[in-house]
Amino acid sequence: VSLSSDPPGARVARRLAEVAARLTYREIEVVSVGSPPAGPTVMVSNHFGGLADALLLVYLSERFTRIVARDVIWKAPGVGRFMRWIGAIPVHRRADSPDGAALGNDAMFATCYEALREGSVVLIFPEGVTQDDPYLAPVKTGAARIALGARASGVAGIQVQPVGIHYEDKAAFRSRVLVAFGAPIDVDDTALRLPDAGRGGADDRRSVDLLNDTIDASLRRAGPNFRDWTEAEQMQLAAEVTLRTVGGGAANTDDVPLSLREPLASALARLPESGRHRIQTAASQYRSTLQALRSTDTVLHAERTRSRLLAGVAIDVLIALLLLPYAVLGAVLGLVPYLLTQATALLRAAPAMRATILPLVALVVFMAEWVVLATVAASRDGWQTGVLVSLLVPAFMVATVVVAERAVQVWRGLRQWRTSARTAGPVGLAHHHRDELVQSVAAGLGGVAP
Amino acid sequence: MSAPAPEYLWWLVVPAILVWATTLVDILRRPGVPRWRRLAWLVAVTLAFPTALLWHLLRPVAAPIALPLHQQNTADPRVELVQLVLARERGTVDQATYEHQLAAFRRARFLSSERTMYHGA
Repeated sequence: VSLSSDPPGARVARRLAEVAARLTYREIEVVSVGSPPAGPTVMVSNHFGGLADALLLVYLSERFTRIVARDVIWKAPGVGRFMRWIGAIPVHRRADSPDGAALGNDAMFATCYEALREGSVVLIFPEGVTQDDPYLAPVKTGAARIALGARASGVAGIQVQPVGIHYEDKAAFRSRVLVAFGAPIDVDDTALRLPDAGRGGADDRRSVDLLNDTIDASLRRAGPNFRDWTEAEQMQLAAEVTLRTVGGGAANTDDVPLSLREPLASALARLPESGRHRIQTAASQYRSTLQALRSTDTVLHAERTRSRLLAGVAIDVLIALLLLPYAVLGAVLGLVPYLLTQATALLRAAPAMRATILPLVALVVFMAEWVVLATVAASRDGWQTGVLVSLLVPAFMVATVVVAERAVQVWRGLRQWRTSARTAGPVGLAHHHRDELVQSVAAGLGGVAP
Repeated sequence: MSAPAPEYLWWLVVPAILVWATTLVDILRRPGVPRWRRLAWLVAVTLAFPTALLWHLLRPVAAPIALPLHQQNTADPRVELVQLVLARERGTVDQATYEHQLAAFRRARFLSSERTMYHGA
């Protein structure tokens, strides 16, 4: 859906975000509670993935979203012009001032009010910074103040749309991601619960706090919210193992959908202490056994028969072999940009910052090589060859990715086939620990507190 | 939620690639074709491969309007379990109903999937 008030770069920005997201992630899952709001909307999201968060939301939102982003981003050469073109709104943070002085954000508020008056979607990350822990950082009041200020200035029917983004591995290329749209919050409904109906707008502290608390609670429901990384990994393993067991033959892929794993893992993390502790102990034990076996749960829990496993492997090998010539060409072409992209891992930066840097570096180096190769071909052998090269280079690189992913499937299938023949020794012990984990989850869910 | 690519697509893509490669060789070797026409044929035939490949791989993975969780495939026991747990947390099922449904679920799913043969190995 596009509005006449959308900025000139809206369509291009959405298309770029779509291509970047489709190439960066192997699988993007989307779930929502209820229908997306149709009128003026303040979209709020957890901020675990840096630039990737904005890319995903621009791509997946039903309408174009105007991003509220730190004004320091505008200072990079060329970026300011691009941000204005896509209708982004700069916000100043005191922490970004060299002398720590607070500058006013009146212009930011005015632009947001105007965008909401036109019925647009304004996207803000209310934590203020990219978060590296698996829980929501304290939610700042910016989103609540924008919504209530716009309401006080006469904009009717504002909704706040909470979004939770769950990354399988935020710094990895071709991993999975889940975008969960929570139930929209009706700002009028929240404001009307106050004696003065929230007429004070952005400066009405009581209204701001009430709406902010509602946003905070909604974001914690929609997004990842674990006590620490250890708990997150243990509960995610417990949920994955349980769902794979429950699914049995109904599951047609090895990967348990994140849209099922994440809510169950979060529910397990909210269990009473005793149930949680038993699950964590069992998960820790099972993970240790898998690590000793250098295996994974997917390998251990192969539901398919041995002949079907082998047939699957044979098909994957055939496909990989047929695509191999193109994949080899793609690998040669993509080697230098790939190595430069991987070199970002050497940077001393937090995972969330690396998650921002990696797609930017990948975009720049791959595009640069693409342009250089096409230009060289065009200047040497004519423009027709240039066009041909510009089309074939990305196609061959995509073939490389396809073959690499098929190779992983082959390796996983062979290991499943080999493991399925073994029932005793360390493999048997792993199955035993797996059963204990499933039973601990069943017991924990049975004793869930009202 | 994204649907997995149908397996039969590969059986269309792979022969298409073979045909494409054979055609390229034929275009290059066929005698008596003017140079500009040979080039035009190469471009025309080659465009089909990357265009189709990129179109397939870059097509949207999910509809912009997401599928509500409660409308997911409830025949899938995994969806059934997650919905039951979330309903309990939201308070849309009472404790007695929850325990009854979970017990039925455990009898039907968890215990039947146990690998008791490995115990004590």
